[in-house]
Amino acid sequence: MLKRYSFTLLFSTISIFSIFIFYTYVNANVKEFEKVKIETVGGDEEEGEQLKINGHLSYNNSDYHMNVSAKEMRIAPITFLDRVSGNESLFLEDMQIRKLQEQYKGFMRGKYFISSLYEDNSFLISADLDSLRNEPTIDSLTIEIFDKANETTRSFSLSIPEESIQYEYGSVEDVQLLDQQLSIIMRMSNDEKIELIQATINVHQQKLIDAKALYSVNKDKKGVISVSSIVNEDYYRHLGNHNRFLSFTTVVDEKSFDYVIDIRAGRVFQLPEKLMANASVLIEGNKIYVIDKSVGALYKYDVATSLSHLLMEHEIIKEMILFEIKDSKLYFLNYRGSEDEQDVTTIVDISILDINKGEEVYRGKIDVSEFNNSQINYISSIF
Amino acid sequence: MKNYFKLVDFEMKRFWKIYAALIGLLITAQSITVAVLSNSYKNRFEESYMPGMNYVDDYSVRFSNVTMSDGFMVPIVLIISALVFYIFFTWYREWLGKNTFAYQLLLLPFNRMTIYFAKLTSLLLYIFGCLVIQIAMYPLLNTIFTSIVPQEIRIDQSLLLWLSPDSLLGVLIPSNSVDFFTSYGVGIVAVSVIFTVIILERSFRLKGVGLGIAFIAFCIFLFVESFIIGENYLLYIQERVILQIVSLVMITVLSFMISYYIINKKISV
Repeated sequence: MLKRYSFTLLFSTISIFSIFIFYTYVNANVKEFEKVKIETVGGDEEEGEQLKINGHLSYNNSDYHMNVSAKEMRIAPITFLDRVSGNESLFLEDMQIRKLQEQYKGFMRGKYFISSLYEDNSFLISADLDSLRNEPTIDSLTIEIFDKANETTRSFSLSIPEESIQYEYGSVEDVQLLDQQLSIIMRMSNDEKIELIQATINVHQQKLIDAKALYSVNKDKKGVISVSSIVNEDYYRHLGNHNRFLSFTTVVDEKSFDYVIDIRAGRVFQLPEKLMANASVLIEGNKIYVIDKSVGALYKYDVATSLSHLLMEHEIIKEMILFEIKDSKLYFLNYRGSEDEQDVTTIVDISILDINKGEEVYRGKIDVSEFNNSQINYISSIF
Repeated sequence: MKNYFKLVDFEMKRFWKIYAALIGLLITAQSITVAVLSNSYKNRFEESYMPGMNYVDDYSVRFSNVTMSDGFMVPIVLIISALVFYIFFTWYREWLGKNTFAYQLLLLPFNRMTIYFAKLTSLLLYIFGCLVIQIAMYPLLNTIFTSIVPQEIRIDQSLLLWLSPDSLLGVLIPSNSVDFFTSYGVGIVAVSVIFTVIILERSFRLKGVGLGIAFIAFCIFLFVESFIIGENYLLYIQERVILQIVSLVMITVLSFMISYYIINKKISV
């Protein structure tokens, strides 16, 4: 009987077995990357041992997630399902959201932005802008509070007082719980105006205490406000921004200005133009740093005196890209090719500057140049 | 099981000649295309050759430059079309001709769904066979390419780089096994729906066409609804993917159930 069906048996066996062999070969090829690790080039090796770096790698034109430590590199293909399910992103904010979704499955439904969430040991709070009357204008703020101890959720909606303008677009930029009062920074706009509004809410009474425009700019001046802040380790651990300050940049008539919101004081101050000519703002906790890449300098800005103090000058600040600030350390990256192939990024240099010590404490690299047709596309997060 | 194997063997042998001809065409056309195009790259290089000049930037050629050509792709498209044609042909030929073979096939003393699964299996085996032949041709074609194109302008490509995801070949042979199972899994669902529609048409003729269209519309609705539910009920993305997989499983099970009922109770010759 076998002889009679030998053709089909042989054909099926060869086909299925060959496909199996092919994918085994593909996996074995990729497994070679496991020997890559964060190599220490200089400084304190312990700093490197604590690093965990996520990123995106291309190998033979296929995309992979990479997770590198001082011990190994773990690599996994980015599948079609990863792309449609959003698992592709290993950026810190997306990872934070995914972690929250795993921990607080019910509460986190429909919540996608880390900037509209606050978390501490007792509460997870979300703020969302919407329209109460189902109209295109935004007029309400919905607060949802998850009590971690009791695992209960309460929510309430508040009207945003409309004074002279109606807002068509809005986003929550920051949520903080300060002395049982919620501070919510919102960016609101319509065709004419963009405003940064701070709403203060009494959580127990579920009442809006105050809503004031911290900053506003008319669109006829071609104004754009972009609120930015660099996330830090504290941000990751608690998945809520506990910084006292929030920086933002405005572009008015094609000229940019740097501002800082003092969330607790509810005021905005502009950083001196002289200081900010080629610089950018870094905020960590209650400290404001200004980094000037053109001269390779890091300053600390004192809010009380409006003066800046030079903390350090270093070539690294000039040469490399600042990626992260946490625990008073600056993490810099530099993407480059190998000597043989300079156009393709196969090496990422890592440098850590300690703000308190005023020096570089670690230098390392991730090098995949020994693998033909490989390329590091980007680093998405450092832990 | 024995009957299933017998039928798969039977189905394989019935289409074998056409399949062999198509594979022969694939091997010949692709080999000739690679040889001709490699030769034209070589001639272009030789005509402009000046000692000491760097040719890599202006004249460099990869294996994929040759295999992205029409002459290389047309046989692949032809085989895909033939296999799509086979989905219909495998059923309709039973009813065609003087002595309708469907009589004998449907009167065989075993579950008629065996016929359905044998046809589905033979189609899958033909598809996998094509993929394997295309992968196996890489060493041959690459040898032709490297033996003709001078080293000065040649940029060598590995098999995996050649099967780049941005090419048709990369779509047919995904670079990771998860994508392979996903894409061919969805393909099996689509084929099961088409088989059901064909069986409906064969059973109820014109009325069956209407029923078939309605069934396709229902399957599309079921699949689209899984996206709408995900959006309306604020499901997490992973939950949405599960819902979509469930909808595909439901479509497949429904196709099998309808086919089972009709093929056993309603089909007419």
